[in-house]
Amino acid sequence: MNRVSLCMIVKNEEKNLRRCLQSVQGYVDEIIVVDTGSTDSTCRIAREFGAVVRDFPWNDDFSRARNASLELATGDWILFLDADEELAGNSGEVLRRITAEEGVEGYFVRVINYLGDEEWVETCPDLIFRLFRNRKDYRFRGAIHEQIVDVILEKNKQASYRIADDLVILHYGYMNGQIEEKNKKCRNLSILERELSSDPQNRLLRYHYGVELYRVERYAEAAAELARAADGIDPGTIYLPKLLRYLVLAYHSAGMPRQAMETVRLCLGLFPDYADIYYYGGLISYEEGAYAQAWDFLQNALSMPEQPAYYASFSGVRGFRACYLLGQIAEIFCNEEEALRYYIQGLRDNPKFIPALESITRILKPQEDPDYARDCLEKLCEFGDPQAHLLMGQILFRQSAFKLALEYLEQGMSRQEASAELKLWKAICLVQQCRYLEALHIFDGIEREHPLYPLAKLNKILCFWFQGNRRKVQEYVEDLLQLGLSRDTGAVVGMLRDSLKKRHKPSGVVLGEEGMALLLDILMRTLDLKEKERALSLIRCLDKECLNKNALAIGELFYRYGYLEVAEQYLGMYLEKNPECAAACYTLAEVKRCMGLDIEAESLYRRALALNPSLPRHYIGLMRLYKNMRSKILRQAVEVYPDAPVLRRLLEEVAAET
Amino acid sequence: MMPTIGLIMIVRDEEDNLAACLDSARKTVDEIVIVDTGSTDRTMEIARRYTDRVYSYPWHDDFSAARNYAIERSSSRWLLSLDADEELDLSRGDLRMLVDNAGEYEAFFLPLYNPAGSYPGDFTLFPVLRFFRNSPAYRFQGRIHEQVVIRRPEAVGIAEYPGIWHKPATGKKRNRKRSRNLALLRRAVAGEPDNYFLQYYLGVEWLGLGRPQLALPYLKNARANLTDGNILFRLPAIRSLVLCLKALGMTDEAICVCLEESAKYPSCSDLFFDGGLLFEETGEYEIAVRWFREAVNCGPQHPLFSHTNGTGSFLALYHLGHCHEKLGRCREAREYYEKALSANPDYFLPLCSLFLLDLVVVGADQAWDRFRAAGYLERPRHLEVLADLFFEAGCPDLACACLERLPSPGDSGNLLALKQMAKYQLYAGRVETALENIGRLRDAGCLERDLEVDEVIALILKEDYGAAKGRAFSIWRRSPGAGWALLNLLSLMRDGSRCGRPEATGHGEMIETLLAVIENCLRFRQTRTCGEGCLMARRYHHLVSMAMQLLVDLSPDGCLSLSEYLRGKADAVCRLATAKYGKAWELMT
Repeated sequence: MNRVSLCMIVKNEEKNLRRCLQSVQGYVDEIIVVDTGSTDSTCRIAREFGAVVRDFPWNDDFSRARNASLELATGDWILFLDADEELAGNSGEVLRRITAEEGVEGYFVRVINYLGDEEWVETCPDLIFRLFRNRKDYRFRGAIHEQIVDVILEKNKQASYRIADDLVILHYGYMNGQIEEKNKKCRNLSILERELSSDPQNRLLRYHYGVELYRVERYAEAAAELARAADGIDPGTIYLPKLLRYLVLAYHSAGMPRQAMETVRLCLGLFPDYADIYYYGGLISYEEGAYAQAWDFLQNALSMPEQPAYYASFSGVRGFRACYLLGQIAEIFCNEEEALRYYIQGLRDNPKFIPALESITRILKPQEDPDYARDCLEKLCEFGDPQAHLLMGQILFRQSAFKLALEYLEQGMSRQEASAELKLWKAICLVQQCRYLEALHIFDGIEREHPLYPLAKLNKILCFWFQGNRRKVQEYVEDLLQLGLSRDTGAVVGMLRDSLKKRHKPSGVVLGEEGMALLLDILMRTLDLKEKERALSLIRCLDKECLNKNALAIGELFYRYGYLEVAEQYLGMYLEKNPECAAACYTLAEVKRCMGLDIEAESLYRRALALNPSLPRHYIGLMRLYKNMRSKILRQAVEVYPDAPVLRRLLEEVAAET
Repeated sequence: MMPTIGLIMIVRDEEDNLAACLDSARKTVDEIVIVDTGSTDRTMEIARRYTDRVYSYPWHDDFSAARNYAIERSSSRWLLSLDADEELDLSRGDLRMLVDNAGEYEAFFLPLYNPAGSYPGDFTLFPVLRFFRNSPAYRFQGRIHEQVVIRRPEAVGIAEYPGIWHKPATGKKRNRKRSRNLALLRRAVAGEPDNYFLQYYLGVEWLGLGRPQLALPYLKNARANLTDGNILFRLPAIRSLVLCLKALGMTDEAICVCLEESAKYPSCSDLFFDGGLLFEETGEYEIAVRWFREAVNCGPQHPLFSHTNGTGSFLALYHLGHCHEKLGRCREAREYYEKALSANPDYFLPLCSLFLLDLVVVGADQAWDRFRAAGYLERPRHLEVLADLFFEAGCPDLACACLERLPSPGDSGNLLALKQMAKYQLYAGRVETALENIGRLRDAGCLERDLEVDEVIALILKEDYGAAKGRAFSIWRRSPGAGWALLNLLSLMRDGSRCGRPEATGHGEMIETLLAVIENCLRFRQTRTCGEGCLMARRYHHLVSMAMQLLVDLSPDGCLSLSEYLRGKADAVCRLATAKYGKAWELMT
């Protein structure tokens, strides 16, 4: 049987090393660990596993350190691992099997990179060269593992490589908690720079250099280096697909969509089954407003087959991610049904993909029809554990669907202790159900020292404000103000007090962004409680100019809660000052349409279209309006001329279209 | 002394053209010989005003005989042959210069320009041998499509000027000529089955008469048998064949012809252009782009190539823009349209395309700014075209802004522009100025019906119901339908009353008038939500709803046409969106 030597270089890896060495136990015949200056228990752990440990002073040279480990290896094969990696599941047996093969000098193996954090983990596969025969003249050169491929080829022209799909290394180094510190990244960059300056023709080095630049967010430089590495490259180069994907990403992040798109087309010419590239082509087109093109790209991404390992395909690009973008495009085209279909497809592909669930929830309008929304959500999701209920509750809360949010939060909390924040959210939901006493009980339970205390206090005031209890509001406002709030928050709190005064003069409050956001939130909750007059009393406290500036948001809010006349007034006010605002034209058009003022609506839709012809809803709004006008005319006509069957038939036709 | 240059012509019933022809040429010739073959109009009389060498020659179906008769009556050293429907263009050089530098040359090709007439620069160029030494060896041959034959090609020079401009014939006259030619040609072809010039001409005549089936064999023969020595006729024969195949729906064969011949004449832009058009029409835009690019890269055309002006420049550039637009590459499309426009500012299709492109990319208002910045709001013709487009796109205010940039906007001298202006002003909300301009048109005696209707609308908008009623009555006397619609509209607007049931006649006219009022009043763009602008907007809107109500109350047909009108509006928006979003739009809605 062929013997396998595991070689590693390490420094201060006590957190990771044990996991790594456990994963190879029984599958490698010796362990060589070269330590470049650990000050923790790394070396002791290595010895526990029977490793041969050698100190080697770090001299800014990866190859020399790596080669030092090779010098000690006695096996027939070398497996190289980093401490933050481990062998997956049955990869040990695979290792045994493939090292028994004749006529192979080395293997590209699959690496699964873990990204993100505890809450949202993603994986990104890759293909790297880590397993090769132990021969005297196979030695590392340069900073990159893969450079040894060239060395082996130089020494042995007939050397053949394979891809070992089933040998999987799991890599945890990109997890948020573990991401290399900045100076480590910079160290890598400077080593690569140094090597490149002495070997400027080396494509592999330049590729890795470009990737490092991308990682430290120097996108334009990354794009330039990657483009240079790709220039004139042999299309059979194993890392070319990855290189081109990085190039697309670098151009995209550098704000060069045109170049990114050109790279997409070029790459698809070479690799017409590369799902990632279709996905990014779709994403870039989507961001550019080229929806037709985005649509095509994403449909292609969805139809791609299983991706070969050397594409290092990102998870979800031919699944939930593409679905999610398609759903968003469908929403832009005002087609909620189609959007829902895509979001659900996305969620099926990855039940942990929260953005899809959020969008589904939004489309179900849980605030307008909680029962229907609940039915749909129960069909879609498994609510097996309280955590799921809490999550759903939070999503619903963010959509201001308080009634339904309350149900889920209560179910989630009944079986486990919830955080103060969730308790607060639950209390807010209670307020929105007019269950003030229960809510007050929770608000009062939050300690003075807790960071959420001011928020709880504010909500307590709101409880009384909604009930018009001037005395209590006055009292608690003074308390709250004594806590020392920000200027804006203080101003809003003051408005709550002033708005209840019997004959208060307009106080002309000026709010900044923060204050306005808070005010809009309070207004929303007021309208949710159907307290239109109370909301208006609050708005009356605002300074005229400040009101003008925010009239669009206020108008939209009133429209959302069905107060058309008020919405009309504020949107009109906003348009008078901002005649070029397409969004205000559109919303006002919707308001007018709801009020039955079709001709005015027509004029406004057209104005929105002239101001911004990029948004599909402007065309759709106009088309729907013409259709509504037509069916109104025909309905009237059928009444006036009951003997004209052609009119009735046309009316049925119009009805069938919708 | 012998005169140097003689003009020889054969004419019949050319009183409309002859004077212009002779005026254009007389400065550069020393002698004019005119042979009349049987005019029954004032042709002879006009001819005699220019020369005393006017002869009669009995027509016996032989062009060459008549022309040679004229040659024999001339004593000049050089001869210029013109037809009465042609004019000589001496602006870039005259015949004397050619004579002085003739050297060994025995004759010259002169460029013959055939304008198609839809815009300046819309012409094809065809070199013709029309200027030659007066020698007994050089005589016209052929009973029809007669040519002077000179055996040694090297003795024939190619002159770039002076050019001959052929006047496009009116439909009736052209058809008369066609049927005369056809009879002659069929006889000639039968008599000379190996004469491929004649076959080419016969093919062209059949094609022109809308009979591609009959044209096809002749054109195929012409292409197969005319040699490179006859490139002058070979190229037009190829192009006619392509047209003919296309007309017969044999696109693949047409493409084959273009492929083979463009490989043979790689500098002939016409062939690449024709090929591009074929691919464009079959929706193969990527391939079409390559062909049009080749056309642009051809460079100046060989002087012996007959040639459609622009196939190597503005025409190909325009089609490049169109193909890119179809491929969803708006930026490239825009660049090509702009190039096309600067190559020939009188060819304004690219301007229309740019307009539509901008309409869905940046919107009407920004489109206007862009056009101004790009310098497209300078030429009067561009301004008129764009004004129309803006009006049709529902922006009468911008239409006005275009016309106001004319050198003398609202000048009574330019009645067409004044009419446009009055209409655009009215629906842009500038009622008073519109009324003034309508008044000036009335004074000039050219107030058309639609503007009369507009005038009543203007008076209603002004709430001058008395004057409106007067005008509406005057319309009613001549067109009861339109009058009834307007009278009802104005009483509805004044006090909500009606003027009784409509008469039985003029029902269609009522519907038409009311729909026009709706369409035009909907164009008004409200830019203010309160104050004066809002008040105006309310009146336009009110007019629209009253007109709609009238249509519904009028009859089932009224309802039907209103319903169809609204369907049309929705469809127009849908087309705009489809142009913008392509397939995504269809999938989503």
